[in-house]
Amino acid sequence: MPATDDYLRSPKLMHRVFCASALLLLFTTAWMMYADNNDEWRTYQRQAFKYQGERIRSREAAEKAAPEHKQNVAELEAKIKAAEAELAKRHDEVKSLTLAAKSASDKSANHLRDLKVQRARRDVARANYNLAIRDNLQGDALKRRTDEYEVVEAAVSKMESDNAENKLKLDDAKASLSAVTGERDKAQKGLKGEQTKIVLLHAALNKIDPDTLLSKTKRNLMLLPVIDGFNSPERITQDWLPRLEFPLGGMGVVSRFDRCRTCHSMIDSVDDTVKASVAGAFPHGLSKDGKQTADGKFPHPFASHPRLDVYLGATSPHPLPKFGCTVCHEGQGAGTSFQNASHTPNDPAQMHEWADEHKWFDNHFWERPMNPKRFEESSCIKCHVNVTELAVNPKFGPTAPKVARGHRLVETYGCFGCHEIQGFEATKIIGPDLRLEPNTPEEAVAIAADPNQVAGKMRKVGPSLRHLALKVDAGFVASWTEEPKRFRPTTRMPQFFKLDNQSDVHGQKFNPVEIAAITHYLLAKSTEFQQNAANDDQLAYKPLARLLPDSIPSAERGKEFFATKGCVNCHTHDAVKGLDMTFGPELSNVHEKLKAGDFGFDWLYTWVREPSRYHPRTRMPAQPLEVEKVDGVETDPAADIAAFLLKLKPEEKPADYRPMPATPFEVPAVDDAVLDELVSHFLGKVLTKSQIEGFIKGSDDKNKGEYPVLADRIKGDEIELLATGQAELDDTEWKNRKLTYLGRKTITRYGCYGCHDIPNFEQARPIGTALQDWGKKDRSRLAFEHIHEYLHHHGEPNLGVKVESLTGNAASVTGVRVTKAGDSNKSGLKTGDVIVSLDKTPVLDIEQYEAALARTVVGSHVAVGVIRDGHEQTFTLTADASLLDRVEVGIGRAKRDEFKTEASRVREDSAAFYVESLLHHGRPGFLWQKLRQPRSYDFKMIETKPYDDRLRMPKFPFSEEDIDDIATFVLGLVAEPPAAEYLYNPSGSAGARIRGEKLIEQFNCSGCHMLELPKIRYAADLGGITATDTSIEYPEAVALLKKLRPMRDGTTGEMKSVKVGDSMKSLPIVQFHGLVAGEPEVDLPLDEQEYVVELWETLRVAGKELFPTYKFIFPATSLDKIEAARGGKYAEWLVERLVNNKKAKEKSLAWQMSPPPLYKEGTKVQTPWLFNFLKNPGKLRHTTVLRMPRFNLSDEEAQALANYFAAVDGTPFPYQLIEEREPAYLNEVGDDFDKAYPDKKGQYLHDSWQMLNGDLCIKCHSVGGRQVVISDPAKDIRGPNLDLSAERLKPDWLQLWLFNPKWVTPYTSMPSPLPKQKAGETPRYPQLFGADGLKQTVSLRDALVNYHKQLEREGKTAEAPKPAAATAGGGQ
Amino acid sequence: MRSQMTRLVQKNAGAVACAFVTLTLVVGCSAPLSSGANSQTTVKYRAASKDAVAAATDTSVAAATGDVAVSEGGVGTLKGRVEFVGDFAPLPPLFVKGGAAKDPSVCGAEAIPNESILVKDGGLANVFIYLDKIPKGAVVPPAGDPVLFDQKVCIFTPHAMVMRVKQAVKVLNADGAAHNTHTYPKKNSAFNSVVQPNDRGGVDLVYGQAEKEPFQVGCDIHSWMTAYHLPLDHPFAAVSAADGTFEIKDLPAGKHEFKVWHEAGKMVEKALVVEIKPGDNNEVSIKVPASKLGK
Repeated sequence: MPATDDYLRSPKLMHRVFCASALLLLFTTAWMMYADNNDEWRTYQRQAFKYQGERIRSREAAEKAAPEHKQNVAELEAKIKAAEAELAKRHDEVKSLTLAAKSASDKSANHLRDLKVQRARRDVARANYNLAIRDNLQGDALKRRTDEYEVVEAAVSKMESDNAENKLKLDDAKASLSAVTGERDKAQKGLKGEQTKIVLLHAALNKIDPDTLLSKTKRNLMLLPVIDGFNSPERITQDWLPRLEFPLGGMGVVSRFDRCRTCHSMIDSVDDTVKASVAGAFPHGLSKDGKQTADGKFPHPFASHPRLDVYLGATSPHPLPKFGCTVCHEGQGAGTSFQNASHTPNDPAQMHEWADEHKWFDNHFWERPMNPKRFEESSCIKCHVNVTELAVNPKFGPTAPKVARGHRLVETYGCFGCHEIQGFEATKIIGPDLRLEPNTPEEAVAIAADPNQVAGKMRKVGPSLRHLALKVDAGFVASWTEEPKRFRPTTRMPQFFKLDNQSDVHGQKFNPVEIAAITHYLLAKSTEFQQNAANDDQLAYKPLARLLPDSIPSAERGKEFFATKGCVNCHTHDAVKGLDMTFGPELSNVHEKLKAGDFGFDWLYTWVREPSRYHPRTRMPAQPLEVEKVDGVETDPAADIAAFLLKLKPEEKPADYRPMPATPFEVPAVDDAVLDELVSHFLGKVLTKSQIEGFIKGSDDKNKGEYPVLADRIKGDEIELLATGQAELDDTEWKNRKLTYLGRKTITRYGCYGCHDIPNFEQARPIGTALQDWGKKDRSRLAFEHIHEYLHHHGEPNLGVKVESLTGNAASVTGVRVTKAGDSNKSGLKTGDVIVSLDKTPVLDIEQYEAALARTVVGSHVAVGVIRDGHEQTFTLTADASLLDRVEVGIGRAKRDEFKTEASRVREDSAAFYVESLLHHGRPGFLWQKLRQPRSYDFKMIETKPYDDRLRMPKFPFSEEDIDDIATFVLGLVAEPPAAEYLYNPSGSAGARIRGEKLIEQFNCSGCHMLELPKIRYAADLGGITATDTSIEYPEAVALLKKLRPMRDGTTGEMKSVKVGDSMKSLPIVQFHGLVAGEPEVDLPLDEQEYVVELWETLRVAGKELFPTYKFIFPATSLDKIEAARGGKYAEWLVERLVNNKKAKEKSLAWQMSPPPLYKEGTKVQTPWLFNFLKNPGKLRHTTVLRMPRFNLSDEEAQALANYFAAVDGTPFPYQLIEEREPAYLNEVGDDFDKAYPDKKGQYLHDSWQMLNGDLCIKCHSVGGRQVVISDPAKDIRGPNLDLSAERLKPDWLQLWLFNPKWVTPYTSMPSPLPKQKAGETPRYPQLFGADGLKQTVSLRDALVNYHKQLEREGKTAEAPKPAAATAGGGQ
Repeated sequence: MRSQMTRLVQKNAGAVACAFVTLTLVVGCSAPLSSGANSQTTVKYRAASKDAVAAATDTSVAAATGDVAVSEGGVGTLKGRVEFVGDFAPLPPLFVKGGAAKDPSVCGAEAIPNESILVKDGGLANVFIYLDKIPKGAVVPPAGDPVLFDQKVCIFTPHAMVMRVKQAVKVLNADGAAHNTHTYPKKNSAFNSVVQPNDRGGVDLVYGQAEKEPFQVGCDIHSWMTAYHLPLDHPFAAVSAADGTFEIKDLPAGKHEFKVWHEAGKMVEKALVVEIKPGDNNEVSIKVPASKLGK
């Protein structure tokens, strides 16, 4: 085909296509640039700029409008004006002076310019000379250079001197000018200073929101795409944290980049309008529309962090540049959009809100989603591996109480018995450590010797079962094992049986046999009663002999002892009400369970007196219970307490004790066939079918019961099936042998030894999943099984009916009425039925009904007491309803805002959150359901699983709140140790505090002892406060008091408006520590009621100094708050009781009979003494009704506690130098003494000893070998023996005590022995220290500190020394 | 001369001045150093006018401006007797002579009586009869001279006493052994001081706050020693004497509510209403049944 000039396509068309595609390309490019530039975060930054601008603008306006500022500006301007007017009058003078100054200045400047040139010339000459030296020039050449230099140098020198003169002249001229214009200049400078703040604010504002067109244009230009790459005001803010590495899930680690501040731009803004403030400049608050609210609160992400004192702030322990955000909050720090940052909603309501607003969805693929608010404390434990400091912190208070509570629950309930939480990788700390301590001394030694191991520290939480047969009978063991809460509803022991996955045929058949087998094993292996063990009575259990074997113990006295000997500090008992302590088990029905007769009684008696004899690792302390006289009768308190607990009637002897269970305890009957079936099943793992058959029934070559494997080849529990040798294989022996085996096997399976010490399980390992990295466990490795199906119809303890409280009804019945029966076939309840009891607990209203239901185990049978047609009937029902229904209802109620209490809203929100998580295979949901209904994951699984593969996790009595706390803790366990500098495991006093706090919690020290006194806040009329009168005190005493108890400022800076007379008045709030001495009398009119509170510290209020014992008396209406004491609940209770029972005449005397507050204990006692005292407390006080018990503390624990008290009060530990015992001190005071009393040379300590052994101290204290005389032990105040003071007390404290004991302990009976005397008063002890009371008081301290040395020198004192110079008493 | 005159006036003032206008200051009215049990200080009244109530609360103003003679209704004296109703066997002594274990040479010199209930001819001793608050219109003079509180043979004397706020109490010791005098007040700070043997100069004890009820005073060295103190910010109080009699002077006419308190029965009467007429009044008999004292 020939070529033509024709176009293949019409050019016109082509032009159009080209044009269109060019336009399309242009449009696309523009769109791309727009889309690329239209980041989500820009919206937030613009809004942030707006808020910041508004804040600066309002601050600028406020600064300008401030009356003080206005006045200052006006004054300064007036001054300037006046000064200028004045200057105008002296116009010529000013002008000539100005000219003179200017010309002097010009001259000086010109001259300086020339000088600089000359200096340079001189430097050239010098350099030339130096070069000449380098080039080794000699003779003339060198001389020439030297000359050249000297010529220029002479010129420079001349000019320098001229310059100096010029400067002087200039200064003179300036001075003469400013002498005239000074006023004006000063005022102008002042005005500038006054406006600095405004100028700075305005400059800051100009950056965000410029006010000139040029700046605006410039700023907008910088925001344009591409150009914005060059320092645009809108940009991504990035915190680089090289030491906080971010693990990439097994693919190594990278540095952490947090871009959170791109949107959360004001997160670290401190409110700098207030000096040294740590409050946020943009406090968080929400309004309905999500915009800034009227009261200056800001929505997320524009709010400042709520605790800038703890986080992000420059002075906080977690400064922003070092910590960033994601190390605590998790999430994708690099993400710059809401979704990419991986925010996590706190509840379904928030989830829906976010889905609508931010297109949020649950992204399975983010391995590290942000912690939802409920788990915000989880990450703390990555670095705070000791956890304790998150709950008790002297500086910041409880900063993460929830995770600390979760940790505590795990500790208390002993989860670590089955689920180890390894805090160490070899010896490197990787997280909180919760592991059992070595089970045997041998194991402990082996671990201590291994440099790569750190021993666990936790004790087993349950009692030892090693001597169980001495305590209880088989029936009780079986009954307790089956369902512990049946006997003791408050028990912490979880339930292993009667749960979801045991209600099938197999479970019903096997469980009773398993229970019988456990019972049999425990009792069969229980160590024998070693009546005649001679030397090893500490190792082998042997009951203690009663102190008064012939007397009949009295339950009535026992009740009193139970109250006053500290038992109620840990245990509750129906008969002694008032304290609701749950540290130890509830004891109201302990009389139902022990062995009958002397057996049970002696067990209890021994347990009360020396608990570690039965259980060496018990936390129950040994209270010293010696024979004491009550109303003239010699009594054995431990026997009386035992009689009380066993409810012995008067005149009943211990041998008469019979357990009286509410329902008889029984060991389930064992069906031989079922027993054989179970034994065969377990043997199936180790033996062949024919071997098993032969073993059970006998075969050709083996007899029945002859185990087919040799003893030395048996590794496991089968060892129990071997013949022991002696016993003939009769039916009983055969059955027992199988039961023992099955028992051991079952204990192995359920891991009972995780909490209890059980014979033969010393080497056993915990059975559960280790939890140290559970917080990052892969979701795909969690066995959710058929949980969704289960939750459709189960999981909620509910009878499936709707109820209402019966109130205001004339009917004699109290209970809840069924209003809608629902699925009546299932529950059997009808509308109109009245439920009066659940599980034998009376139900009076709907709250009690719900509480009782929540306690039931889902799926188990509940006895429901119902009144129908006027007759009471009992139904056995299953409290099991759909959890999903509950959640759906909850979400609906939340939407409609129907919840009556905040607590119930939070609970239902939580449930919804967890169920949502469960439905999306989240870790929190799994954990929640596991703790609520551990066996529910076996739903429809048991049908196809071998019996022994069934889930074994028991059901703990946790509330949903508990589970929430535990989840917070467990989800924080990620075993990702931070870089060493981030780990918080301090030594020194901070470390001592942490370890001490832990022990205080473990041993319940704070039950008896107040560690911090109540904190009282009230609105004070400052004028009505009078300073403590110090004129009656030695100045040295006052100085010492201030040294040991530094003054604290009592004013808080807060105000409270209170009614004074008929008007309201705003008064400053004063805060202090003290004990309430007088409560308001409620029968008085309100305006006459008042508080009387005794101060315990040294306080400064409005410039007035108040010392301990100062009494604050203020109207009840002025009270702001009384914050309860930390600890000492028991002491307070005992004081009340002693006063009410008239055992103490006065409250202050009752306090002396009770456990003392440990207030400033560190300034008081010597640490080594405290260590010894904690290990083995001796009798100190004679006034107390109980003594410090001996705790089962290791040396390390006792040291840690002793150090704790010193650390709290900032005193050195563990050792203290007692200077008053050193020659340096004694020589010095000795010299002074010799100078003052030359005729008594060298007798300083002798005279001090005379002072101490005079007629005063002996009135109440045994001293110097003499015993104090006591007329009535019940009433007389007897002080501690003084031989204890030297090793026990710190000299400074002792001195303060001797000056004024009430300053230290306001309630004490100890008087000031030698108070300051007024002129003209009769001198005291004139023959000693010249009757100088101050010297005498100091000498008492020195005599006490040197007590033992002096006692050896002087010998025992037979009677009060009577120096010849004076008569007895010396007061005349 | 002038000072002598003043003294003369003051000497007789006890009877005269209190009923009349006294332009001199109140010092003249105070009784000399007394043992305290029934110590009375003279009181003046302002005419019952509108500002009387306000003035009453401010003694300094009253003292400075001078007072009008008598309250409109006049003042009266309350006399009475506290009677123990029931059979009474004198309580056995706490210790017989020589029986005290502590400091026997001093405390054993005499028997230590049990003073918790003392009845003589049917009259109950050591009962506090007092007004809770200053009655309207009464202007209270400052507290008078110190009162004495002694310890003798390990017994406090007096056993029960009222004193005024800011009035010094001299705590003395007549024994050859030290005592520590320890008070247990509610609103005042506790006082606990060693009083040296045979200290006749005494230690000063001053209460800064009025109390609502009498409180105990003890000695921790000799635990049986007890006494009761009641500091008040007015003088309208008395302690019944050994025969149960008491007298309260200068009460403004009108109804008053007295509190009656005894150590064994504590608050025996919360509000004993007595109508006071000017001048002398009929004797009041306060009957305290034995049951109220735990007998």
